[in-house]
Amino acid sequence: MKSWWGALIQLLLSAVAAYFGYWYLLAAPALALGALGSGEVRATHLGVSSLVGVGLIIAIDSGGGGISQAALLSRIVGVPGGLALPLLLTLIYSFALGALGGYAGSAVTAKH
Amino acid sequence: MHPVRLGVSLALLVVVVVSGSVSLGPLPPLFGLLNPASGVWVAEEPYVNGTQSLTITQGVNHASVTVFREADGFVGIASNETWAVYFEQGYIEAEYRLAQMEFLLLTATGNLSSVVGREALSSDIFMRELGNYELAEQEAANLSPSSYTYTALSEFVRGINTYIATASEARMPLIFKLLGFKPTNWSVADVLALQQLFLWENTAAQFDPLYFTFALEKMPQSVVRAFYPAYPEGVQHPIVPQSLNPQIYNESGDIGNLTLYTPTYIYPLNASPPDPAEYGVPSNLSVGRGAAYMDVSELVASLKDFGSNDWAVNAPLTAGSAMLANDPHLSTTVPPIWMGFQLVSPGQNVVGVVFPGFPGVVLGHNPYLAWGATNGQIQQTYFYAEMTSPTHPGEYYLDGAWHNFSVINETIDVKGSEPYHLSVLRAANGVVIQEKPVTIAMDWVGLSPSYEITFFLKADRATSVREFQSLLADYFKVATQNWAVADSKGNIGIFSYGDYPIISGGDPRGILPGTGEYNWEGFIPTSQQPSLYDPPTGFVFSANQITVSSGYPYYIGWDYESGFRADQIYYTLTSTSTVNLSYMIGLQLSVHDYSTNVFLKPLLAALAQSGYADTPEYQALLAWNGDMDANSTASTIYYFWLQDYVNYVFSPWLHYYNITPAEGLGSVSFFLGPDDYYHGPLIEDLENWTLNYTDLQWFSNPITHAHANASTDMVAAYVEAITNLTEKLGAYSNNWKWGDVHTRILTSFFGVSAMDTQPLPASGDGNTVNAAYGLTSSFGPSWRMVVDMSHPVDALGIYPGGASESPVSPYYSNTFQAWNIGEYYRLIPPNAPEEFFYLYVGGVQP
Repeated sequence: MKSWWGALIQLLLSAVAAYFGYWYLLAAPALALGALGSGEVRATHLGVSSLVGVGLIIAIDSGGGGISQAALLSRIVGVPGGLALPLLLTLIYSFALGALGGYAGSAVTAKH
Repeated sequence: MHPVRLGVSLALLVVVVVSGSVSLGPLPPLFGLLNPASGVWVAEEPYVNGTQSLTITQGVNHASVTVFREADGFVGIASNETWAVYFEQGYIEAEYRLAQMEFLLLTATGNLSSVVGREALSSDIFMRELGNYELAEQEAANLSPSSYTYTALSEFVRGINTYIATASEARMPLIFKLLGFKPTNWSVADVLALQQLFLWENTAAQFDPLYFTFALEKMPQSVVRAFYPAYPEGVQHPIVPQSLNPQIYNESGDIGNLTLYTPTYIYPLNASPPDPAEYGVPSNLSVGRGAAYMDVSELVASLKDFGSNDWAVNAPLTAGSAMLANDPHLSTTVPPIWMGFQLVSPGQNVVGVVFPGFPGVVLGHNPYLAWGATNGQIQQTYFYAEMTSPTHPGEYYLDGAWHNFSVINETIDVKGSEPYHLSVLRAANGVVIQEKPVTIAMDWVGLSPSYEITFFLKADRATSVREFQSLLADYFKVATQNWAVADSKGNIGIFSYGDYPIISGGDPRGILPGTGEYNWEGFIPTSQQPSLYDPPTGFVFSANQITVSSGYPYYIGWDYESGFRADQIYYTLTSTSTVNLSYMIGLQLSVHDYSTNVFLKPLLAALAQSGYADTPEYQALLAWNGDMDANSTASTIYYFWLQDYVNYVFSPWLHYYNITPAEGLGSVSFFLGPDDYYHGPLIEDLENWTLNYTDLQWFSNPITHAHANASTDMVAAYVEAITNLTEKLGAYSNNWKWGDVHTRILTSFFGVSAMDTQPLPASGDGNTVNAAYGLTSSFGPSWRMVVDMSHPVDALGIYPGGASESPVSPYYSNTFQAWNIGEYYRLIPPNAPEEFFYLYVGGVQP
């Protein structure tokens, strides 16, 4: 499997998972893609794909005040920077789940 | 396979998954909170203006419903079926105020700790002791399923539950997401539990007798008489003066048998004083540390009535029509404690405001009648020291015999802790709120089932002042209010009805012995309770001032508002021969501090005599008209001076008599609490003494033995005020403008400061009709309404805030600015669909 195919599939699956509220499962498709990719699919690409997929859904879902609400969350918690921290945390988690899943998957099929 | 890589990556993955799945301090797991589909990224249901048509079903019945959402925080609901109106009201309240309703319910039922943790435990304990939920269940069980109340409540609850069942997790309020809370279905009893909470929070005096016991014990009788007269000397404008209703003064009541200046029970002063905060609503609590701050006390503080105005006028002040104005002073929060509704169904077209979680309209008008309320300041809590003995465990002595306390075992779930087990003890004369060192029981008229909610529902459909009066007598028993009413036939009235306990001796201002001889023997008959109907003066009014003249035969309480707002209303209404709606609005928005009519002249005289006449501060006061205008610098000087004057005179005496903070010093109104400036008897004493007894011994300092009089104390307080202002604001300049130091703010109902609005410069103070208590004022007119009942369709009103509880909604606080500058909205806007004009000219039945 070409790396960009794996990344594209991960992006689509990430968006679908995020849309239906299962973003915490992003590691599962990444793990499968990493395993099936036989070293062709890079973990960092899967991480970036996850990040982009989740980011897309946030952009769609947060139109009715979600962005402002995330910024408000920062104010409640007492963190400066408005939207930055919730967004950063969401994207870091997305990236980490995708990348680590992909890395673990590729380790399964990697030659020692 | 590459086992090391696999192991490392899986281990890291586990770390990531675990870190997203566990709670971080007060915050819920981040995977839930940051979930792009249901977490913080999705906001609550947006509030959208406009008209919507629906069909609602109830079994085989169908109803057509029109919903008209307005930008001013009001939602109109019209239907051809009354049940459908209540259903839709429940649905809409839940749609826009679900978090507020749920937190009120958690508070009322004593379950707040299960959501916010130990910080709410003392509130929960007290609510369990009040037995709110058990009472509510009894009240629900007593209702006939075919009664109007039951129909309204059950449909209202069905509407709430329909919303909860259909709303997605994504659309849940932010506060739910922060606390990981999920709403459950409501019942009729839940709504009645909210009624109980409302009744408690609007019960005047509450724990005052516990504190006042220390004045009775520590001060000589002569001092208690001077500082805390049971009936204050000086200028009074009672709500129901003897001259206007002599009939209620004719009976022989209980007051002649009472000893209101000496303690009937001696509380052991070497023991810890009773601490209401231990049992009541906790103060200064915060949930979460360094993160999601929530002031639990804010949750119910917004229900408390801190002072209000209502008045009604008719002929001869009008050409024959009756008019009404009302502005209840509550915490001004976001979301507001009110939500505006117009409810239209066969035989009903009512518009006004209601507490979220209640059906119907609480304050408002219909085509025939308008009504408003202020707190009656009536004492409806009595405290008893129960006689107990180690030889009679679990018993108390009453009427010559030992009786078992009845025991109710309660379990309170506490988030993050073990459940709390509580045994609530009940005696014949109340619920035990303290066991050691003395067993203290509190009797409250709200400890029995009552149906104030029925009153509201029926008042919404009432057609005359007399009918309203009759409903009050039948249903409104607890948390007595001064109800001002005006009808379309030109009648007005004011009624302070409720359960007024009668005892045959002792001093109910303090703790009473619980052995039986001081128990309640009944209630004042309705015919003897304060009321006025169409007085010849052409007006009725109340501003939490004293209810009756000094000759009233019954004891009904003693701690009233100082009366400056009442004075202003009285003089404004008696200084004209004609009142119209503009005049009513002008009075409701008045920022004239009537205390300046009393204090300013003697202050200026004292200052001139002391050589201050050439100072710019003096000149500012000299040129001032007493209006607490935001642009006035004299307002700032006067405000701080008056606070200092009250403290300067009384603080040494309270210290001299060793009234301690644990006994209420600095926290209750009669012991120089934070509200002493506008509340309580001390400022009323000062008014009387400054005008009539300028050389009284009380102006001198008992600790330093410095001899003083009114003039020297006024000057000393002035020097202190100017010194402090100069330190804070620099030398006298335009920086001393009242609006620069005095603001209004809408604080978060949930006590989350990040959800507060920005403060706005504000006129007024705690003595002005348009009240703005404190320097950063979050108490004030929570609802303003003015109605001319000859054209009720043109009635005006406003409440600060907005329809939506979502902080990111444009309708969260959109009426704040308009309210602050004194604007009003048409309660039935001209562009409303025609069914909303039903029962008015040109309207059609829905």
